[in-house]
Amino acid sequence: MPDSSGTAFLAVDALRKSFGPVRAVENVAFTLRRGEVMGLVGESGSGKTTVGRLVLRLVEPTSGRVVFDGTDLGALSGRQMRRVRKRMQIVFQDPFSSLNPYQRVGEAIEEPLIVHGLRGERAQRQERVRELLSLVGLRPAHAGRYPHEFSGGQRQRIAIARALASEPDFIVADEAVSALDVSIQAQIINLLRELQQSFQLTMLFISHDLGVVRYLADRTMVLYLGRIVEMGPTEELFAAPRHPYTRALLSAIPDPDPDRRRERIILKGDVPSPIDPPSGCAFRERCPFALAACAVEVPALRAVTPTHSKACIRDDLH
Amino acid sequence: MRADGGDPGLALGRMSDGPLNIRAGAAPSPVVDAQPVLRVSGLHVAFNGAAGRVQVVEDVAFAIPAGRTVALVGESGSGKSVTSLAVMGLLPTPAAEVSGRIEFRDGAGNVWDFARLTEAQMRGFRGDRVAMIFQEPMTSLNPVHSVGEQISEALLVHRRMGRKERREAAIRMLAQVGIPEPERRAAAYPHELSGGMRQRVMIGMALVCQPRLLIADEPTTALDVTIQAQILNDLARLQDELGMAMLFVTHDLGVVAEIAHEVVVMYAGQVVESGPAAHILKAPRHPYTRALLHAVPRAGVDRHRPLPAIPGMVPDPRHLPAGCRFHARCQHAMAGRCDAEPPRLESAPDGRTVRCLRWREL
Repeated sequence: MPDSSGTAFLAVDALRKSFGPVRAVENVAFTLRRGEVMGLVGESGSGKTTVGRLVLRLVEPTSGRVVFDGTDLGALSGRQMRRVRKRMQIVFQDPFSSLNPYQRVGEAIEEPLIVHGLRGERAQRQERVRELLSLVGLRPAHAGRYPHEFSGGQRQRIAIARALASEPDFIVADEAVSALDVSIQAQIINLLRELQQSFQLTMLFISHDLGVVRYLADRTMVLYLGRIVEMGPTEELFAAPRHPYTRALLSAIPDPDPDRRRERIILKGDVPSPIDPPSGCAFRERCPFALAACAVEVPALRAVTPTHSKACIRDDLH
Repeated sequence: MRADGGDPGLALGRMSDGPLNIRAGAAPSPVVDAQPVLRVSGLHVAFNGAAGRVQVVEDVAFAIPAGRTVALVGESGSGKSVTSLAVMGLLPTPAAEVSGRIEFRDGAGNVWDFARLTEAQMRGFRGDRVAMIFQEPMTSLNPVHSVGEQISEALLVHRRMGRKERREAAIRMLAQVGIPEPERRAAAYPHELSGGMRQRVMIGMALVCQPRLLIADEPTTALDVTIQAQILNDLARLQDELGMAMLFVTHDLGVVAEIAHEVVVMYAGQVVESGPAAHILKAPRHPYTRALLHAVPRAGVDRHRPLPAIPGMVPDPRHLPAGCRFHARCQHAMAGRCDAEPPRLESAPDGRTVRCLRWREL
């Protein structure tokens, strides 16, 4: 359970990032309590990956602040940032491209221990590598093997072990289970959940897979063209989405249960270009409820309940 | 089984005229047309490589009548994509050894066994009476030709159609696959289009000669869910318009529920279960199908309990286990039986098949 004291462990405020003319992230703000899992969903081009990188300061924001456990990351020098970085880790979608094919997995997991000057002695580090391998469900003897000797699911376990090596308290998981087959995906989801709970990890779980987010996240935010359009407790957001885009997105998830007949909302067209987004609400051209007023101003993200907010001017839709 | 009217239970109302469950109304019919467009039987595929001979598809059988969709479902290594490539005659020779029957019935009622045709004969079918679409349109589309030219190419090859006629047909096709401003878009190059639009162009290329059989290999897997919903909807509509048989390869059981009439579940190169999609998704008989359905997190799953994952991984085709290929991962496996006796694919009276020694008691 997340810490209920209410203090923000991670606070993101007015975060913006432009790549040339492309405004990838616009005015993103949210807070996370220690031990909380935040789901971040959105389609291609929504900016969700950029948000994950901005939070870790792997990408410098154009403006805005990220405060991690009381420290403003933007104010840190490179050396100071490195010290904080061991507490913040990332797990990517494709472990094959994030693991060096010529490096034994034991060395890959040991590397962060060396970089961050943890567990000084070699023997101690190797003991820690063995511990980490068992922790993610692999055998200590696997340390001597190379990445290609493992299946996709096992490689993702290795990537997770590597991320946990420096004992982080915050993890960004960017499509961490998306490339896996269903039967393996469930194993990795269970592993992430177990680790999150036993180490009280705070997590930003980025995924285009809404089912996985519904299962793992305490709260969820929905990104559309670089902006948060809805944010709230996961169960509430999935059961009663407030933004028309969230509704369309949820209705589009194919459900294998033939008895679960529901309204399928089929949106017209594609996500607009982030170089030249429509005025006002970026979703309005695809939104069946758009009014003339929707073209005038970018709708602010505002609270509809104390824990649930949306960026839509229409309050008459449910 | 197309959509009926709106659902009063949803306050939001309908955002378009799209059907909900695309296939929901279709009564699952166990009746297989006496003369299906495609009938595959006893299909075996083996690869000969440096590591020796590996059997990757074993004794696969199914049939698809006109206007119907069969989904081939499975995970990586199940043999589903190899099966679809074998039907198209697209496996590399001589590395791939294909045996069995792949019988295609053309519009005149002639039956052709694709397993016995030469490459030159197959070329006369591909892109004409039989067409295929893939997951990644960028690898199938040529970056230096406009999409209009690419759509109309098959009309030149198979129909010897003139330039002006081809151009008009390409524009009509673009409109039919749901591309706005088709006259203008016909001149566009693939990189100028979004992923969803590129997938529509590929569908247009496949359908321009009005094939009797369309093979779709994970055509929506790389797309965002809202675009996937559009494309599935359009495929079902186009199938109705053209009356074509469709073989739909996917790993996603949710997509199966949307698009398929019949489903063939594959595991480690074999069919483990087949029958009407609605029946199999509702009451799967094979423990693998059941486990696969439960392993997907979805509405109603208790998030405070671990997901019922399937332990272990798909076996290496070079070292298949004795007995049932799924037994090591199966929670119902019986020692001394499932690890010893290879189960046969049995037919049940309701038109379904299942490959499990224990299906009657489970």
